[in-house]
Amino acid sequence: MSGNIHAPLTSGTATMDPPADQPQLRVASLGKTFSRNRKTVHALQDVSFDVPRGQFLSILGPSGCGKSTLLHIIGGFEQASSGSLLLDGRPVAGPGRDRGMMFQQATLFPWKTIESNVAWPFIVDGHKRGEARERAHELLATVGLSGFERSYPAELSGGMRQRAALARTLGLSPDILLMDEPFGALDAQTRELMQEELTRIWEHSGLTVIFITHDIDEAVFLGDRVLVMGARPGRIIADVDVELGRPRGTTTKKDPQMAEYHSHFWELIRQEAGPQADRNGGSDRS
Amino acid sequence: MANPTATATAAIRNASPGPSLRRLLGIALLLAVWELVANTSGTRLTPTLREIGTRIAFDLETGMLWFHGRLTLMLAFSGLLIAVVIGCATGLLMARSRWAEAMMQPLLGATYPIPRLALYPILILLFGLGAAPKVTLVVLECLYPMALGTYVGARSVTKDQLWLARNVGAGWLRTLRDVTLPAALPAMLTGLRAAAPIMLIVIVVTEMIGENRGLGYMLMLARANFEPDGVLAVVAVLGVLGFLFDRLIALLSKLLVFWERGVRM
Ligand SMILES: Nc1ncnc2c1ncn2[C@@H]1O[C@H](COP(=O)(O)OP(=O)(O)OP(=O)(O)O)[C@@H](O)[C@H]1O
Ligand SMILES: [Mg+2]
Repeated sequence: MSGNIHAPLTSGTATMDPPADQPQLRVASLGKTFSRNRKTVHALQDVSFDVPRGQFLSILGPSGCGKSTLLHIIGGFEQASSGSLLLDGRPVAGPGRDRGMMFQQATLFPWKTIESNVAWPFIVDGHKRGEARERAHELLATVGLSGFERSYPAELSGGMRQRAALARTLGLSPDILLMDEPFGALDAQTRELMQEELTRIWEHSGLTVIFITHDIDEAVFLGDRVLVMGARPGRIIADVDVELGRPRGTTTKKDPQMAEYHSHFWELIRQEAGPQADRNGGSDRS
Repeated sequence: MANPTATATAAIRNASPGPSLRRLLGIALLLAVWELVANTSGTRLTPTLREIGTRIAFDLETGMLWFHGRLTLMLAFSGLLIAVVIGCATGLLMARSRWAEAMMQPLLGATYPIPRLALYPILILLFGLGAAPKVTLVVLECLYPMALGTYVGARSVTKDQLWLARNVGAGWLRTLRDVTLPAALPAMLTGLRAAAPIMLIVIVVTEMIGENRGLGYMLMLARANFEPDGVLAVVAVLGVLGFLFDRLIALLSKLLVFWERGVRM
């Protein structure tokens, strides 16, 4: 910001802006090994991909393939063992509000009301209590939770808790939304409603989303693009653009193309779980 | 999910509300049996409830009970307060630092079974007679439940909750205040509930040894004068005090840890 003072002296501030063709997020040969009791687990190996600004990226993969680990590294909560992670061209140093994380379980504080939970980031940021509450109310309205401001998390259903968690994450004004199987614990109907709701909110926001799931239909319905990961070691086995029109809604789910994508991804995952998985299984104990 | 905090507060919950009549039944039974024994034996060693009651009224009237009781409670609460502060700090440190945890856990484990009352003569040599060795002993005894309660409570903070705080950009003080302490509160109150009766026991026992004031002294004085009703009057008062403290902490838990019941306030 202070650079603006000298702006007239320099040829222009354009050099400060990221080039238009630069991806918002660049993941380059990322690796992560966990060591515990002399046993090493290759959670991630040579994972590379770019995410352009505004994309909805689904990451699909079987349990234990390193999806969460990847998201935790992007979030800055964990450190990669190798490779690099560039956010707008700069290496990621730690967690930040530019990347809003949504956990598999809605991590709401049970001792705070829904309103206070959503307002908490604003309070931490130094906003006045009344102002923070006002912002919380707006956010809760966006996710359809008006009228539940004074409820405690224990009084809400699983879906409503995830809505509240989404509202709180949106309150960070992130550039990227990191979502780790946020609907994994919900029943099928609630899950579909939440998917449609998320699509609606995302289409209005221009946010970049990295969405992890092990549900093929969810990955396809939500995503502009789907990365498929394989396990042991965790790596990317496919990178597919989803060519379904937008806006997406109930009709999209009946689209015959959905079924085609489903069988395509199912085939990929089936192959992965076949002989190849056995071959790589041995390298785990190296 | 095996959540130690949940089970700990479940224990509080089971004891606190509910039909009050049933809870008084046990006490009534004890008093009835005592009254029966007192009436059948007929010796001075077992005064009747009425005699004990009369003695309490008498001790209240003379101001003895107020004078000695106040001194006892002052020392007891000083000790408890210090134990709460040190215990909470130790518990939090143990929960947040692997170093502290590795150092403190064997230390607490090894010193816990030692009868700390045996240290009292040494404490007297160190601090002299008076308040200091008594308060120190109360601190030493109450430290364990407070430190362990806080430790267990602070450990119950999930990784997700801490990561959320980091994501939001909360500093360590803010995280302590808004995340760790509320999460640890139920187990801390359980620790406090265990510490309160220990506090009373320790302070009274120390006052029974070479002291000229406090409820423990009053008890020994009555014994020396061969007044069983005087001894039992003090015992009864201690029982009532212990019961009141327990109810108070239970009520406090109910108010502070409302979210564990899933009911809004
Ligand atoms: N802190 C850790 N220490 C040791 N191993 C770990 C750790 N975290 C993850 N792992 C291992 O790394 C691998 C990937 O874990 P991760 O949680 O990223 O998988 P996932 O794809 O998110 O699985 P799921 O779909 O079940 O959530 C697993 O084999 C797991 O056991
Ligand atoms: Mg996971």
